[in-house]
Amino acid sequence: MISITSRKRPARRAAFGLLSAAFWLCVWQRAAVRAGQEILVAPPAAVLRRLWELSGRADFWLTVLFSMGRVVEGFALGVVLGTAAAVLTEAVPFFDALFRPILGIIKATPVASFIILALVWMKSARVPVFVSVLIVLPLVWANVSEGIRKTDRGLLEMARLYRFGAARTVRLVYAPSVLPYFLAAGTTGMGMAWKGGVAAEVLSSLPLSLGGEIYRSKIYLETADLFAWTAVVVVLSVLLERAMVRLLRTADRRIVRARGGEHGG
Amino acid sequence: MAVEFRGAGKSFGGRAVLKDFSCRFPESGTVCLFGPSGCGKTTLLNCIAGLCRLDSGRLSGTRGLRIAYLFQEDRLLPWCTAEENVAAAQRKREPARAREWLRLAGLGSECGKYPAELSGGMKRRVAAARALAFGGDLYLLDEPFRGLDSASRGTVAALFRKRAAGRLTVLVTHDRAEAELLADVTFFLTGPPLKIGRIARKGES
Repeated sequence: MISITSRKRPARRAAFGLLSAAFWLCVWQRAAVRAGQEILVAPPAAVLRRLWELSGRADFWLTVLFSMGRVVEGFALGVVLGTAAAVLTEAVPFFDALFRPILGIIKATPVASFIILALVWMKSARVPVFVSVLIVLPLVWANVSEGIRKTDRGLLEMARLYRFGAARTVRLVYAPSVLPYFLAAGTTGMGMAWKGGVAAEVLSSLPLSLGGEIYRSKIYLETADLFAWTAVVVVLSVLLERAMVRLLRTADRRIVRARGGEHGG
Repeated sequence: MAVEFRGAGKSFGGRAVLKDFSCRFPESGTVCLFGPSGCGKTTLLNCIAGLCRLDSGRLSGTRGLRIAYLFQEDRLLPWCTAEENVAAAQRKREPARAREWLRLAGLGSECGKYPAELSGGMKRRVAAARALAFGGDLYLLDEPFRGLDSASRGTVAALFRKRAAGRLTVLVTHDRAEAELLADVTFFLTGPPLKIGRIARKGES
């Protein structure tokens, strides 16, 4: 389980972050110089310049918006379906036995297979959504299931005896117990949804999509464009992940405070 | 209807904790279960509370009862404040009454604190306030005064005595003086398997 709430020495961390970024930019620049051809490795300055040019075009923002919409839609559907599946399979052993093999199959199947199959089954525009769902769903399913299983039995007995009822038991016992598992799945899932979604866009060469632009850059050997569009994907993925972590951290705050410093007496 | 075990049996991993155990509790008053650790006192309480099923025999007189159980462990919701923990056990959410129970338990100024911010004795009193706020037909108190100083013990004991008046309270303790002070009837237990060695009424030693 990951902790998203530790924020130790932010100034020091920021300094390390800047140093790390500067180091890798230098490595990138050195690699571009060594390669000697922009078609092989585009230098950072050329990529930045291309990014600046692209961002001045209206279709750049439409492309970003549409791709983001597809990934977020797939992610949200994956979270909802994964949570529902976890609740269902933990509540009814028959459903667990029925659906458990499906979970294993989805986890083991290569993303490319799903993309190709989805291209056969549905419209290209729906493929990135479908793929994002298939990537996020098992992750959320497995994590939320584990959270439900690890809910303190003593607290559940207490809730039953004190007649909390189903709604209060979910709100006061299950939800806070499952939340850390849900957060871990959500943060990992957001990054993976981007990877899967963009891969699906590449293979379906969708118009007005980041993946489609990456594909076109590759076809016309415009390496600076390829790097620029990839950078957009990375930045968007990181920003969305951070936004989600920030949003969920508010909910997590009470749990963190509750778990803070025990003292005897 | 009195709580009664008839020929009760319960084993954990092949180890019999209850074996052909029979016992009838009075309809009201405080019954103290006094015996060594591990003899099966908590199992008996768990069976009465319906948290543990008998393997054999019968338990009668508990159906439909509201049971206020002060568990051996505090079982407080770590993400809820003391006040929210007490309010959670109320039929209708009444924060003012929850605060009042905490005040009576000597925790008037700790209402907004989380369990992790409270000492062991304070947590015990929050758990006691929750049982009191729930207001059962039957009170099961498993080592209710663990970690409490003598003043707090007196306060909590008085609150339970008043709240549970006219009802049955089953209290588990290892402290003989506590048993003699609080109980109307004391069952001196041995085990496992659990057996009632002797029954002493108030005033008898």
